[in-house]
Amino acid sequence: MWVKETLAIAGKELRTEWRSRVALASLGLFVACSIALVALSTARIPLNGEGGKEIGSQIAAALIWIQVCFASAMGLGRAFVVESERGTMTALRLHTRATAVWAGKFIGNTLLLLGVCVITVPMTCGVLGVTVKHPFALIAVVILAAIGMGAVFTTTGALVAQTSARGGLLAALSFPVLLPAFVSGVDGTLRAIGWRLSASSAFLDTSGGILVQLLSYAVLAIAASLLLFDAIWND
Amino acid sequence: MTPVAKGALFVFTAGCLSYIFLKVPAAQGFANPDLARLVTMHLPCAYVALVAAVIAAWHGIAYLRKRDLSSDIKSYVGAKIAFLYCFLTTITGSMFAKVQWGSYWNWDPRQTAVAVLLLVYAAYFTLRASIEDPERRAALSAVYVLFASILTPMLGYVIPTFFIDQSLHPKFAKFDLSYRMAIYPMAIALTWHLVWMFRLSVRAEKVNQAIAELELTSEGGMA
Repeated sequence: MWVKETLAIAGKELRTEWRSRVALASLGLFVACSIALVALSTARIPLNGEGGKEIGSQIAAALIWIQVCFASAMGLGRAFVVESERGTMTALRLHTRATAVWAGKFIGNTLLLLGVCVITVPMTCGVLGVTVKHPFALIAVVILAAIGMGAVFTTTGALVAQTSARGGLLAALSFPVLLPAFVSGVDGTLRAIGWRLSASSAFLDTSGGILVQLLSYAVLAIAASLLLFDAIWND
Repeated sequence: MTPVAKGALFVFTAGCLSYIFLKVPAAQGFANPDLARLVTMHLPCAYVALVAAVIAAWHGIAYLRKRDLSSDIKSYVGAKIAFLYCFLTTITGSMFAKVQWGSYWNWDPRQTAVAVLLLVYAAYFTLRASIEDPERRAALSAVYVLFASILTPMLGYVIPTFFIDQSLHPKFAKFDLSYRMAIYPMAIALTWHLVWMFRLSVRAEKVNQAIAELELTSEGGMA
């Protein structure tokens, strides 16, 4: 029953987004514009050669997660604001359990975040001429970080929807809490790119701990959100 | 707190500070052995920040369970004191880092974690300021302070202790007896200060809220 309710909410989220494409369009445009700015601002930095490639890897790893964080802060706060604007919150409260609403919104937000990563990661690497040495490791880092970040943005998005100052509050509330995932995401991306790893060294031998950090963060963020969401939703 | 307790607190704190400045030996092996004494202030500040953060989270849970606004006030005051001591921890740590490692800021995981806690509490105060209804403000603030309390120890303790080898902070520090004799009493003195500040601030905050309610009632009456 809970799973059915969760999937129904997630399906509704994705269908509504597919019809309006508001978040998709704004996030896609934001990512495209920021990558264009990155390309223009790094055009004069020589990123070829051994030293240049190292700088390129560092810039790429940091920029990917900065773009993902800011894009998420722009687009993911809408999930609960839309319910409040359309007046559908009461109907949801009456018919669905609080945790199912959170889980449904979380699935929708995480898929949207993964969509942003699918655009951001290859485009940023391409623009900066970075080659990824461990692509599967990068995929694992992106998925785990997106799950943790999706959980945080869903909960803080629900908090912000109940306040009068919606504009910049989502970023202000989310970024400090997101920092562990951000730091591990940047570290994991650097290692997956192959920064300071000899060609033969396997990713898991040297950097498996980063995946454990990201997994623990995601589990903690989901558990904390499920525990606390009832207090936000039924207040 | 009674005048006798206040006097005792003053004498005890003065005794601790005198011991630190007059008796604790300079630590050999440091870039500036005399300045190593700063550790005896830095560690107790970090400890009191942690205690205040636990108080904020504890009263957050209490509010969500009992919906009593006085728990919200206690949680808010706990967060304010945690913010103050995080700031003091950052300042004392930065002064030590400048002498020992040549830079006020080294992006050390624990240093960064305290800065993140400062940001978390700043976000918490912003959240409170953006909600007018006292009960809704109390519930949402309690949720945020608990959410942050569950997730930030990852950055401050778990990651630096178990995953990062290059931290400037020792993983499990062992101090000389003369340093332990300064650190533990100083921690007790600052905890005593924390209790005093907490009780005073809770009373002041209750008065502030009562005044705000009175103003709201008189505005309603005039309208």
